[in-house]
Amino acid sequence: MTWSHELFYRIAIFNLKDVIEILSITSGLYFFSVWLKQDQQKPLVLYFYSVCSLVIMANLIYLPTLSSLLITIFPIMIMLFILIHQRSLQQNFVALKNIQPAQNIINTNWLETLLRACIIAANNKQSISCLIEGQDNLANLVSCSLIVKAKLESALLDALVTSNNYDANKMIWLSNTGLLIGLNTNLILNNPLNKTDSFQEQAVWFTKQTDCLIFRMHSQSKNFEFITQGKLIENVGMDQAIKLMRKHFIKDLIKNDLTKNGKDHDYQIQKESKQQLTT
Amino acid sequence: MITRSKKNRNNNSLLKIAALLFGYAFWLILAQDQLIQISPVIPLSFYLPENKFKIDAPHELTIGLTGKRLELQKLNLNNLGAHIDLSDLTKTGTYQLQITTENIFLPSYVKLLYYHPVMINLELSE
Repeated sequence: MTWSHELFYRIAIFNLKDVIEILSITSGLYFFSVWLKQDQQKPLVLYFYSVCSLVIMANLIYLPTLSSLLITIFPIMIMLFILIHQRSLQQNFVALKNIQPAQNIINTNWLETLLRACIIAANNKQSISCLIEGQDNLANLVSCSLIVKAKLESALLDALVTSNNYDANKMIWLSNTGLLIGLNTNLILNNPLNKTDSFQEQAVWFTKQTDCLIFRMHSQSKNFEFITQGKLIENVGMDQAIKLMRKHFIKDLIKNDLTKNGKDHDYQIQKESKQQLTT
Repeated sequence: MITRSKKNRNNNSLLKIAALLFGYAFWLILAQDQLIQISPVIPLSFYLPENKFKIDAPHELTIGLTGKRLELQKLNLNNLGAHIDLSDLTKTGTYQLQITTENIFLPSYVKLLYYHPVMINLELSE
């Protein structure tokens, strides 16, 4: 018996079929872990091999019930890894994380600032579209070529909207706390819709999956078009637009209040903001 | 750039090694109770009380064994052998002997499936 035969015999590999089986399992594990590694948000590879180690350890130390249980539920665990992978979440438009707003940049009169900018743009015969995110983090669901991340100020918005870098066919991306996140934003549509579908159809589908609000102001009619929760509201005048947006964002602010205890300084800012919006 | 690609290659090598180790471990868990068959070649030994004859006979025997994978792995093939008692043979000449299962010593956890040759020609000379 040669040393290689002896080695294979010692590790319970008796023929070529065994080698093929091991290589097949190894390839499956390798390609799955490479795919898991592409998730930049969570260390899924580490979690996956931890689960694998648990299964092997249970078998090594002769825990028959636990071992059987783990081996039985192992396919379910693999399915869970596939489900919570960043790419799957993106394809299904599920935002895994909610936004924890940096409260110190809450802008109390950002709605007015934004609407003022819309009117100015309309006067300059420029249509304007905005994407306002709610609690769902849209960072992985939209593409933005110009990230700003600054408190929404009238002068800043005017400067950006009139600059050459601004693309009026794309959206301005804002948070519901008055943070201007970026310009030239597009929805990433890994969905059953075609790319040829209209902006409204895409936006309706997108808002059905997330809690964001999308609106567009037409330069000619100076009317708004609102899309939220999968519903499209057309030909909305300025007064109605303000009411609609206040209604939408007051709901979010109340929700935030319930989760806070109203003890810190940020709560005071939100309260002021709410009062301002309700008056 | 070079450092990043080197790091990436190292990471992938690490993943390959991890996949191989875990792949082998999973395979062993799933395959440990499988009944498998091996065909080792074992030495054929003859017993003569007095060393006065020269024996001319085959030296090896091929046997087919079956058992659970982990049990077969525990089996030390170097300790296996077929033993034939020739103490009844007192004269020189050519004999034809049949090998029986009693001649092959095996642990209880493995099962003998077959062996060959079944009959051997043996020549005793001075």
